[in-house]
Amino acid sequence: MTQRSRRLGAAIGLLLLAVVLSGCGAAPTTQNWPGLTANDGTIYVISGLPQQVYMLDAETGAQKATFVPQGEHKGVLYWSPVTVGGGLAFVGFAESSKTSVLYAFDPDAGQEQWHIDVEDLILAAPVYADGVVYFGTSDGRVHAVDVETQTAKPGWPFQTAQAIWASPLIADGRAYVSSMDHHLYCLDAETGQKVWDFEAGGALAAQPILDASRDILYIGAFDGKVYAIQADSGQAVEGFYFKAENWIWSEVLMADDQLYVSSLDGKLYALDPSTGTVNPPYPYDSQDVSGESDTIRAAPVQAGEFIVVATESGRVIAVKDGLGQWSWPSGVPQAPILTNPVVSEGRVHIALTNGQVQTLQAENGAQSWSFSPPKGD
Amino acid sequence: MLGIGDIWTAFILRPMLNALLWLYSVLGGQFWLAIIFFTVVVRLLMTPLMLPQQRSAKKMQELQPKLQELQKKYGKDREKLSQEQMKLYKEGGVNPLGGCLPMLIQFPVWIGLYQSIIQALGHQPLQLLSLSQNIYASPLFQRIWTEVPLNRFFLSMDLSLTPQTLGGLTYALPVFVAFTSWLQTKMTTTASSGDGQAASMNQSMTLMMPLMFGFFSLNFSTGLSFYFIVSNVIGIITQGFISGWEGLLFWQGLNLSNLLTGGAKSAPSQQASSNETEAAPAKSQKGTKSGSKKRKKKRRRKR
Repeated sequence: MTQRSRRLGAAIGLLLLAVVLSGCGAAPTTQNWPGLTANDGTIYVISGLPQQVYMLDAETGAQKATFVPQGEHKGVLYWSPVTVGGGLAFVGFAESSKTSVLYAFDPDAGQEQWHIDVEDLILAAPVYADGVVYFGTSDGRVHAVDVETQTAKPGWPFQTAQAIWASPLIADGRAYVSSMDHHLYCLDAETGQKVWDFEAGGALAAQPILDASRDILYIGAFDGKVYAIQADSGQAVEGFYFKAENWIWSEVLMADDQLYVSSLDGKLYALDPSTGTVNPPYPYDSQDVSGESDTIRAAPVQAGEFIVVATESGRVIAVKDGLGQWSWPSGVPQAPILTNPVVSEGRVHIALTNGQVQTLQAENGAQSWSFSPPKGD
Repeated sequence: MLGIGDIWTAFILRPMLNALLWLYSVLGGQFWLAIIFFTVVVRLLMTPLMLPQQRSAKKMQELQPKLQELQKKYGKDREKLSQEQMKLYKEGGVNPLGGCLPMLIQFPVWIGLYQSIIQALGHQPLQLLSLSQNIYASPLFQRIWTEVPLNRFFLSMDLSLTPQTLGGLTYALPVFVAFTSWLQTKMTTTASSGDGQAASMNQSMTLMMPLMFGFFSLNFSTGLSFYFIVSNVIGIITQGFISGWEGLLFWQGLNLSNLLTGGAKSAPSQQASSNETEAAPAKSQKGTKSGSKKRKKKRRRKR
């Protein structure tokens, strides 16, 4: 073998190594989890390749219609869950890593009504209130678009310092917006002017909830804490303290005068809404079912007498009084669950990260129906 | 049962990621500073592995006169030449692949670092979810929770994106990575005067390794380029202290064909005509310079 051919061989070998290592070290394809919404007997799930909205009968799982976004979606797999309001369904689909389109479509037939181009990604479900659709984008802006004119309302958008990953909460003429910049903003829903802001100890990726009877907002943060904030002033409620063992990513649930909180530490907590102390026998540890440590990204939901949580490993667990009542599936989970479950008419609907929808009977966890997007669709 | 992925995550990715995040939190939330400090620490930790190779490189330079003698003696019998060279390397305690081994040792480190950078600078939901599961539960690291999502910008450059995505001046980064890598490899590799396989490999390394690292820098996040550049500069300084700084005078006697061939001689007939060029690739620039002085003296004597 000549020196030249040896050198060539070494060079080819190194180049091959470079290509192989490029593949090994390449960033994973980032997507977000399926969007799942229940409204008026219809389940809206975003699934399939290319992504589209499937509209399913909540009782039978039969496909009623689909909405296929018509824009150029250059392999970018980001979208928001669907929201329905004012006779329209709204959804955001990314066109590139920095641009999205907000679509309004017929919630029954799936026909597009109009669309507007938006800078950056829409990851959280838009919210409809009084003829206006509110939504946040990954560039930190909160938008308010007049549905009638399809133009931005005067004074909007409102700029925050980091991405918006949660839907705004619209109540009493105010828009409460959580931002990854650690702040909860209270804005005038009409003018977009800031009324107050509250700084948490970590990023806020969940929508706040409002306990109207106490006029208190509750929100979990990435520092593991749940914050109780006075809705009128933005001041923290004195004497309220709770901290989980990992991030709180999802919305807290107010049910039966308790605050239910799921955390990435894999536990479901029930808190006293005045003090934040954990009510025994909670917390419930999802590890009790699988025997392995698990995380809970999705928000807890109330289904009849149970609080239902879905774990990242792919288990659905119904809890009552701090004890597990039923879990699904009985065998090995099929795929992770990161999407908030939704409840309609005694059924719990779950979207798995593989695109499937599973519907379980709330009282015993028995499977009611399931839906898989057509292959290659 | 632990798979290779779990082992990698537990022993490479998580320690590196948490070290980076901890540095980020104590360095005022500047990720680029965290990368630089992290690189210095990694290089210090790798010193016991790298130092023998760098010393070996110096010994290789010291063997050059003997290698040249072997070249003269067995120039036509390649097999015998190769055998004698290997014997000489063995006697001198030299690893002829000394230049490429330090580079190879770094591979797992920079793959782990790349994954750590991507995870740490994650700014999409699934990336942050993955990050949350790799941060240590210890209270020492819980303060990092409050820092997420991290500041991923340096002079308005997004360290999580590639030069290809960012465009503009960021294309200078792969070029600088390739240049510093070439300089480091040039100082480390010591090609022999013969044309043995090891020498050939080393000569290829001088060109291919920098090109490969430049290629990586072009395709991976700019944060990784920071690691490469700082790591290369430290390597150059360390090698300089061990075997002298002559290798930095790369522009002396530099010509395109030398660069492309890694300084290797091209044919036996040419070797016979000039002993100085035979040793060019491995020899320090000083050696080449002194060779040209000798030639000048010879010419003067003839006159």
